[in-house]
Amino acid sequence: MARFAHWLDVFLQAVTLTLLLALSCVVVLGVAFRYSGNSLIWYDEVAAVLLAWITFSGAALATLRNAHLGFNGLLLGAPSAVRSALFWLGEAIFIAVFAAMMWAGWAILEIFGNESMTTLRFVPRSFVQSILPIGAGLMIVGRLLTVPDRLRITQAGIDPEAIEIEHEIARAQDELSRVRTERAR
Amino acid sequence: MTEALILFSMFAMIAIGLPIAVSILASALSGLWLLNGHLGFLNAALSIFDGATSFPLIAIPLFILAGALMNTGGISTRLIAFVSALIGFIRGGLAMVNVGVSMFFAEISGSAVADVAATGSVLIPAMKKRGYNPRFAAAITSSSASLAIIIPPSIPMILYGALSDTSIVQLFVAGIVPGVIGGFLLMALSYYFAVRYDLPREAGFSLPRLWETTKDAAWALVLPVIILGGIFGGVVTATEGAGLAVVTALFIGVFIYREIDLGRLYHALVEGVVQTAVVMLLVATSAVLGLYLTETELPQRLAQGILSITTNKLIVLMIINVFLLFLGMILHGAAAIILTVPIFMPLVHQLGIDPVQFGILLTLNIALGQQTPPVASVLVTSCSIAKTDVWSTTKTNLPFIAILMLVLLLVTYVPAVSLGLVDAFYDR
Repeated sequence: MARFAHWLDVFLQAVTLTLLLALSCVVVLGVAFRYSGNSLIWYDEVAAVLLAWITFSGAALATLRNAHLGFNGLLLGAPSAVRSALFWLGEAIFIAVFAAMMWAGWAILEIFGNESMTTLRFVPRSFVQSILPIGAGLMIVGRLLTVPDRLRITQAGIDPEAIEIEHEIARAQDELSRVRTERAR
Repeated sequence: MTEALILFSMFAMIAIGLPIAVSILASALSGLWLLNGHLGFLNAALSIFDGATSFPLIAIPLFILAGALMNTGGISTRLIAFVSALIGFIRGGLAMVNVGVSMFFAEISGSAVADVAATGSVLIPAMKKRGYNPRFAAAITSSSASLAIIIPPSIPMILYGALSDTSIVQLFVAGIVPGVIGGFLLMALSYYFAVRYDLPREAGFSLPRLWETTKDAAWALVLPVIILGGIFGGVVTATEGAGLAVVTALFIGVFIYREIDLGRLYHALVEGVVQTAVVMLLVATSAVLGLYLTETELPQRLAQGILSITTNKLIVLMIINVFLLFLGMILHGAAAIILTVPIFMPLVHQLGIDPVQFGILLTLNIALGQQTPPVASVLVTSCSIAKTDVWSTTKTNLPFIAILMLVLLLVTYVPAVSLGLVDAFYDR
């Protein structure tokens, strides 16, 4: 399971970074063409769609990394049995919500029929919107894959935010020692 | 009654540790299902996608990308050296440097925690070594880092601008005066403590050293000038300015500093894209909540309810400030903005409060929220670096929090503080 989670993480990194670089290129090209007097008509629409794709694929990556913003203060203050019960209740809500989004996201693809993007007529709207059911599905998978880890830290009473803060400080200190070593050379 | 239950269930889900975005979506879906059955889910699917396609929000991943490019070039250490040479000779020099660096290093990476970790890792150990009280070091680092979010470019302002349909450029301009006032007040208070506790000066002022560090940091300093100049001058929009920032940062990193480490850049980019997605999922889910709120007309009814008690703008603003202060204790900045904007905007418009002024007020409340435990990620990060206890550091931090509150009161009750520059430069 850890191996699958690792490869899913790598896959989502590749997808989201490609989308981010594509978005940067589109914005820069959009500005350059506007100043050359030949505005790209598809610039706004494509950039906005790329942002949506980054949102839903990135949200799946964030789920896999347990990076979504939350508040664990009350949960961690509860007795162990209550904590476990609330943990499983939270999992059930998470999965139900994104299962509903997956179903609804899929259902609207059929409603779009032969519609296409306004500026790029050859791109079907159902393709553009397909990221929603796919993203919702990947979020469910990501949530299930991280159950053992999250259950362990919840039962141990560790706040995920504390882990993030430790990670950021370690990264900053690592960066600092690298810069100092390079300057010392 | 049903609406109140739906909103209560949202806070209950947040309280049991569900991600905020999921809690928003779950409560909004329940509400829409009660109103429209399964058609409510289909509308929600359309809304959540539309919520994620907001053009002005494209500035967020682009500014994060530019920040990642600059950070891997060791920008923080260069800026610290420059600001030290500029103001380090004053008594309590490192505290001054701390505030000065935060003003230049405005919250750019998208993660307040990452930014305070970058500057705090350099400055807090240095302050401890020079005999500063660790709690004081953590407090000034934390407060000045939070003040930075009202100095452009600011991701909370981009969020507010996109959600409330307010000019992001005007918000950026409006943040400058309160940011500078707050910065100078924090410096003044640090000076007072420095004299009182006999804190040390750093190396004396030296023009050659200032020149050397300015040369070294010049490109890092030029970047905001190019970008903000382009945005304020009307040459580019905020989103395009962010695109320009990416190109300039890439140029500086590859051709000038030649310090871009691809491995580190890759990791910084992945973390940046995760930060973007976390914020954007909140925005997208809030669009679904917005749909539910629109159908139930809850914000309008809330506005009417408050206006039936008082129509005094100053009192309403005070009520909003108190509410936001409380919310800031339990919610992260982005989540607080996303939840409050759809609820408060009808009231803001009905009372004739300028949305730009309200944006600065909201952003300042977010800054305060980062200082008020239990949810105070910036303060907790500073305390972790300084190895101090959060609650005792909060006591030391109270005078600095008071400064942030003073700036908030100025922005709330003296509109010219935030709107003066905007009115001077823009025909509104």
